[in-house]
Amino acid sequence: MRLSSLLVALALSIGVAEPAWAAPPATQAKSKGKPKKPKPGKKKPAQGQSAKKPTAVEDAPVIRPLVAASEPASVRAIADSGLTLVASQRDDFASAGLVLRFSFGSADDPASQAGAGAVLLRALEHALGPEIRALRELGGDATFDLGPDAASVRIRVPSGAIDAALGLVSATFTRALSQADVDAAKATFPAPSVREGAEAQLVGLVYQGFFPYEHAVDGTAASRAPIDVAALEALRKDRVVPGQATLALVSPGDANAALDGLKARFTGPKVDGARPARAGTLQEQTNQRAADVETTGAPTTLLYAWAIRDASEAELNALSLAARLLTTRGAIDESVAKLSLPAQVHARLGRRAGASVFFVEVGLPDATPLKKARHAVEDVFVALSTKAAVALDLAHAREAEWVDALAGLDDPLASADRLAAGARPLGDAREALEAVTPENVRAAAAKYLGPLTRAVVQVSDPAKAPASKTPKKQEKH
Amino acid sequence: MSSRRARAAALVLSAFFGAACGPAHGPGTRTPAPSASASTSASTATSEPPNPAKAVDPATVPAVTGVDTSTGVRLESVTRASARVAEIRVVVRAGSADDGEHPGTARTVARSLLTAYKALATDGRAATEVTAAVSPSATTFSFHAASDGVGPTLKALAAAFSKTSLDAAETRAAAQRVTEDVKAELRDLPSLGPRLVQRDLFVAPIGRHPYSLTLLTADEIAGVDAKAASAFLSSFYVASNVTVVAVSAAAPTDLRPIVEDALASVRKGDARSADVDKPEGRPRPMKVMLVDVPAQDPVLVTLGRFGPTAAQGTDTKTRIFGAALRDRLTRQGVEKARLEVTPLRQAPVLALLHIDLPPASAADGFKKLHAVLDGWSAPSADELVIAKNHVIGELLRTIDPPGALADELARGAAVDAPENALEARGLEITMAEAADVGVTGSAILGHDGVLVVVGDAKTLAPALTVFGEVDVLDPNAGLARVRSVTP
Repeated sequence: MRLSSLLVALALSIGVAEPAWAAPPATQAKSKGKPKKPKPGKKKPAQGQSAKKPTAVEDAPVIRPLVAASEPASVRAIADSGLTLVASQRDDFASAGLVLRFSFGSADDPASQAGAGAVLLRALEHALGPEIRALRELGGDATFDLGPDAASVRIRVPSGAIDAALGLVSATFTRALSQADVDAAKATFPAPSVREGAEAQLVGLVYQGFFPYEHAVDGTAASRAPIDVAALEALRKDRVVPGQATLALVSPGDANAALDGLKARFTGPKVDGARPARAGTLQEQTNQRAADVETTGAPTTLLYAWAIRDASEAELNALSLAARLLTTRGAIDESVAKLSLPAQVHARLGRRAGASVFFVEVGLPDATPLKKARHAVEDVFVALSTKAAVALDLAHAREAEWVDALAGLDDPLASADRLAAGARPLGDAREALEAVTPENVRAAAAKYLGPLTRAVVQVSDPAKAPASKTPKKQEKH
Repeated sequence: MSSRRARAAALVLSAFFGAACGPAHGPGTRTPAPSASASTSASTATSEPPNPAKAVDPATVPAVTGVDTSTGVRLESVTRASARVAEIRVVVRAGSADDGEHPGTARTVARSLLTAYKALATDGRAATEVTAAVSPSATTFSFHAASDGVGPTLKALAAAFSKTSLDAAETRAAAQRVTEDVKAELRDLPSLGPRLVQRDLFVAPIGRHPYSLTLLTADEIAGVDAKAASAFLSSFYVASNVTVVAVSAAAPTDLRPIVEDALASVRKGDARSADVDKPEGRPRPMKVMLVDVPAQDPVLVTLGRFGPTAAQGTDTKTRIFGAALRDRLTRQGVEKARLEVTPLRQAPVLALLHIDLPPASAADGFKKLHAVLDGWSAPSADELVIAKNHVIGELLRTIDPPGALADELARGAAVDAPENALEARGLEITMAEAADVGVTGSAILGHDGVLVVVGDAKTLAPALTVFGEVDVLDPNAGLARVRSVTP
């Protein structure tokens, strides 16, 4: 699975809000916790910033509670077949979003068949070619995605062509697979890029010994090779069935009528299926795991990950804001800049049903002295777990998290995704974000982002390694 | 509910009731069916002929309200009452084509301003993440924010824009980041095709055409100094050269004072991009390049052509032509093709056809592409219906999410497109006829363009010669030509 898809999962786990153009001007409300009021003029200029600063924005900073928002209405039912149905009326959209979400993911692959879920989904996509083409001829489109914990068919379609989309959904349950579908599906897995290979290695290290999350979502060419149509049909009878799925529809028109239409369409004998128990549990980690990837043409990159075991929801919220702080507030950039190096930083929390994972990716120039760069980066992790974040920085992180979640509600497909995933109510999500204090972030970082429990992968191009200083030392001797 | 919404709702309901009144084809039936033919429920969906093209009701395309604010900044806004977040784009008509003697200046200045913004956004309501994209025509700053975050974000951006100069340290730091971005772009194989196409499609009578500078070198960026960056900033970052695009719940009358207050500090003055020579449009043998990446999967194909002139057709007809072409390729078994239409400010529309091919069938794909291009003719009535449906679907995907709509409006603002361009597109889809699309396609295909393939040269070069002589480029040697393969 690409790391970017984790962002989607993260966004889906949060709720959404209502505009407040008519609201009174924001006041300098005290947020929960102890917001500080940074003094104008005392802020340290950023590197390279002109000494003569414009004064337009030097008003007192404002930290205010997150803007409240109402949940778009939705109705829910279970069809006779066992399929969970959700419909939401959105007359502000001209197109519709449908998401058929299954409760199986790559974490449910049989231990001897890493990648089975991915092959199953791609074989289905191949078998459903006629329906997909029909959908496209009507201006729609469909994508099939597999993550660690769920699989989804996402459909975007003009609202007048929903029937074709529902035809595709129906056929997903009923279409038989052939060996030709399986062979065609296996041929669609590209060889992983250096970056993807390094990411898979990182995930393998951080979940070492815990098969459900240890293996790559797509498995490997070798693990996929023995998977045949019989094996996939055996998996399918328990997984690609109505009782293990949710269909969410977001479209213009009356939601109750839509739900009735869906119930009538997805009638039939109940098929519950079953989700097999996942093998093993993630053991406590007590040592840092590291690997080097050296390949010609590879971008110099440091990849860090921590598996988050048994964290509470409040701790996960704090960690998601920690990721925002690392990405957007520039602490790693500033630390690495002391070495006169620019850095591109991306951090994110990947929420998973089992153990979540915290990723940090730092892109660096070629020929970077990696040892020094690692020290600079890892100093920031130490600071994150020993010093509470500045209140204004946390306010920015919280605001960014909230606004991203709200933006997802303005898109038909993202809205359907959220409904299908059963995201928590918007108000709860907002309160949870508001409740995170700088001290919560520090405590969560101290508890989960320690040096002994992390995995590190260094990616570099050996042809562009920094010049060694060893000869100089030898000369001194 | 408005009558328009009521009609939309009725359409949806008829879709459901149609299904509900028919035989029950639920997932619970689990009727096995051979993969070559549709199952019971699926056949209901696929055995019918395609729906007649549902022309987009022009009224459903959102109305854009444009106003000139007292600051000199133009505001173009769409009001969407349900929008929970404001999507804002700040378009500065200062792009890479304005770099002048120092390629990379527009990007360096944009990078520098983003750094400045981060320090200036000292309000908790301001957007944390502001991005900047530099096209040949403009630099566009993008963000989304809660309603009360728009003013503080714009204010901090305006403060950055109004800096009187950029010093040596900040210019150097920004240039260093741009250099890393450029290196990353060279490693980004999917973006190589479009960059090479644009580099070689725009030909100047003398030297390099300003629109061809898509692959910069570290040396070029190192040449951008504080003096050049400051001059660029003070010349182009002026109010009359800025358009703010907003898609939000706010009415234009509510937005205007926010924008006027926030952008009051932006310098006044006139900016004018230098006139750009028209690229040489004369036909020439198609230029074919193969970037040698042995393990590349899928093989990436990019075909670039200039779009039609105003007399030959519109952007919309180009899109319909692209959809028809894609449909013909799909019927030949070449899937995963898409057309990208990029309007430019002082140049013809750039039309790029992207195709991903499995390595095993890439050679066959080249032949089919060649045959489809060579045999172009006006679409049949059925092909036109399907092509229009594709374009309608694309339009809906553009106007439904506010972020996508804001991006589309910003693209228009960058090239001085009229405010009603989207509305016009809706009408043009309705009006387009097969013969017009045929003429537009012939105009686009009437001149040779540039074809770039990223894949294994050893296995692909011979098959690619169906298009002519192939230049093989080495991605690890700055895309230098290492050999040519002749038909």
